[in-house]
Amino acid sequence: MKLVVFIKRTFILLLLFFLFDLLISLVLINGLNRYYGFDQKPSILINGSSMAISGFNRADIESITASHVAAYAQEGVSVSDRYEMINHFFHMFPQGVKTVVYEVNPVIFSDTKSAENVYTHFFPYMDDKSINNYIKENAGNQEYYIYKIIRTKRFESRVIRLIVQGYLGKYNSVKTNTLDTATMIYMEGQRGEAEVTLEESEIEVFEKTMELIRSHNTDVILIMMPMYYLKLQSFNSDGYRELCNYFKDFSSSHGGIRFIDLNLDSLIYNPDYFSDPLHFNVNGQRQITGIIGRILLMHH
Amino acid sequence: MVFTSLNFLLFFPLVALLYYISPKKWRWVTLLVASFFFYINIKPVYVLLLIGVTCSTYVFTILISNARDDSRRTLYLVLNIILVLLPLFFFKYFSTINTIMIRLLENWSLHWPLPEIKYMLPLGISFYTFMAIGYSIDVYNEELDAERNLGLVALFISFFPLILSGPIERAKNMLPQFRDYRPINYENVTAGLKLMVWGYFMKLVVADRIGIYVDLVYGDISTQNGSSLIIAAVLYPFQVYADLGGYSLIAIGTARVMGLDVIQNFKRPFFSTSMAEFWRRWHISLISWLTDYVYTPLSFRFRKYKIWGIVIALMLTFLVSGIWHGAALTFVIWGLMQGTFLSLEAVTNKKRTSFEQKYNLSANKIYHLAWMIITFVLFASSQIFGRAATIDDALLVYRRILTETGSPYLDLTTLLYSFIGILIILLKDFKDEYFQGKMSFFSNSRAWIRYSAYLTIIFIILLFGVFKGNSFIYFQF
Repeated sequence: MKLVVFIKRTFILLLLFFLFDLLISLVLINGLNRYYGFDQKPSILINGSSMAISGFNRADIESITASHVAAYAQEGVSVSDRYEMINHFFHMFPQGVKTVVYEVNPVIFSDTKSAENVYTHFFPYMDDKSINNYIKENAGNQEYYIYKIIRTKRFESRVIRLIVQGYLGKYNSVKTNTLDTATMIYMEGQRGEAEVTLEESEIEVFEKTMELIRSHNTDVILIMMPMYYLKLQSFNSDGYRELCNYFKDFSSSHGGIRFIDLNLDSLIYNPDYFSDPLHFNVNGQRQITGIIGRILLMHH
Repeated sequence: MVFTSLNFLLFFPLVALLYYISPKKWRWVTLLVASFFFYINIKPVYVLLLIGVTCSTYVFTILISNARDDSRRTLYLVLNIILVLLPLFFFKYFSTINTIMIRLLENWSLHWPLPEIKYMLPLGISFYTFMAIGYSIDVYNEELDAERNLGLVALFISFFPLILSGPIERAKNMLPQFRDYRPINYENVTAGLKLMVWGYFMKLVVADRIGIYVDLVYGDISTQNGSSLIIAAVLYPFQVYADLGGYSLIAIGTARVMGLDVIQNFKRPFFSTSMAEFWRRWHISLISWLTDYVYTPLSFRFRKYKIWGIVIALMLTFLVSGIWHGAALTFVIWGLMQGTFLSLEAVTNKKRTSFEQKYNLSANKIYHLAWMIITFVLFASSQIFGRAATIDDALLVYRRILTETGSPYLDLTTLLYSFIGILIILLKDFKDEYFQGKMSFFSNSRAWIRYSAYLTIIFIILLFGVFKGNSFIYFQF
């Protein structure tokens, strides 16, 4: 008799578990959508890596442009990961947006690999078919099915923070510390010159991404994100020039695509704008956001 | 296979099911096969050591049991202890001693013939070795008869919930349970599952979250200031408690589901008002083992020195405890610190008691709270030696804490989750300590409260658990 009760109760518990799993995941995905700006139809999409996260204050860009902005940026993403992000975005908003701000950087075509386990960032959006396939390709079978079956597990603590920010309406990531130039000089001295290479496979994915965006009748602004001048100088100058020329040629030969190099003297020589050589702090974010806001305002 | 792996979550229900559907007479065989399968999954070759320890213990306990004169019995016991300790000594201490010899002789320009060798410590060896020795001594002391069934001895030593990190069980508790037929019991199954869920919460939500901060700070002590090191030093005892305490609860819960009772390993240690009480509540199975097989014989031997005999016995017992924890001088110092704290308490015990009586402090809550804090501070400060990689590192931590303040390293998300986790554990312990049986969520008479509690804790584990590591702190011991 007690065994029957036990089985019955286990069944009820499992039923409740999956019900709450669904409900909780809906609440969480709603918060995450708010954080990224997917909660309403955006006019502008910002896409990039951690450099974009540190550089753009979504709320400020919205107030400058008087448009709703979505900021879909993830740490450690490669060009291929970003293709999946853009594809996912257009699945949600097939009618497209006015403009996509696409962050580029000196190593965009150098690193053929994304950061380790970067696919885990996309677990929350596993219900999207393309994201689901992308995760299936990258994750192990066991891992894939756990996340597929248990929805709440898709939201790790890092994402919970973003969800809370989404519900609180605090979309930007702000660092307040200032670049320690002495340590940086030492570190860069240790590292030596960094190569800027243009891998064919990466360029191919990039061009496919641009094609995808343009097919939705959307303009693109390619923004070369600024970095502290010592870091910029650490990159091979010929390679960097070749990369910029590629973007210039590409944008001039394709309609609706602009390329802007934001490595301006007024930005890159001021350590007060950076929290580390590649990422902005609150002061730098204010500057970049202002510039991007004005560019978008003129563009629209 | 470890408790936090998906493999275990598939393995365990299957074993429990097989256990209950096995014929009564052969249930122990199911557990034995499951235990060896569990251990082989970690590194197959180490199962040979396990078999060696089992065979040696089986043969010598029977010899002890059959021997008629005491000298033979003692000889068999000593032989077994030496044989059982050999693998532990070799894998745990040989490399360290060898390295020390190389360094020492290098200073005198002498060549030590053995090269520097590093071995991976077989998981659980310290635990099952102690269980085997405890069983041999119990047979020697005629506290129980030698088990004639090799399979049952093998099961006792290899029982999968306990083999990796304890609790260090006693044969007189486990062997009769393995022999008995235990029908499926609803209360046992649910009680076991509740313990397991709480154990997973302690491990995945609290211990592994704290570990992110502690590992980062202790990983590069030279770049940390005193404030960060204080935070790490305060957090570390909670990490160990949640880690080993969590592991123990999962182990106890796993056994309970199959109707087997295993010794409690922690009893709300942070509510202790003295170090003596603390060690009656912390890692109980190890301390009771040391009390029975090391401290009691030693204090008996040194009884003529009265209180100083107790001091010697305490110091030696905790020296053994330190060495058991690891082959490093940091653990020796850690053990000696515990011995010193307990010795000081033993020496001043009468004065403290009369002081408490004189000022009627035994019922004074603030007085108790103050001693709880003092006890925690003493333990946390000794744990610096337990966590630091070298003595120099540990001394640097003390120096920085005492002399260098400044803004601490703040990983706000990690610290926030850690402190909330610690608070939840302390609140539960507080309730169990002072309001036992009251305000129970898991055992509430109302089904909706029970179910809500189960679901809440499961979702907390899923959302806030750290699933990246697959290890427990005590695996290294």
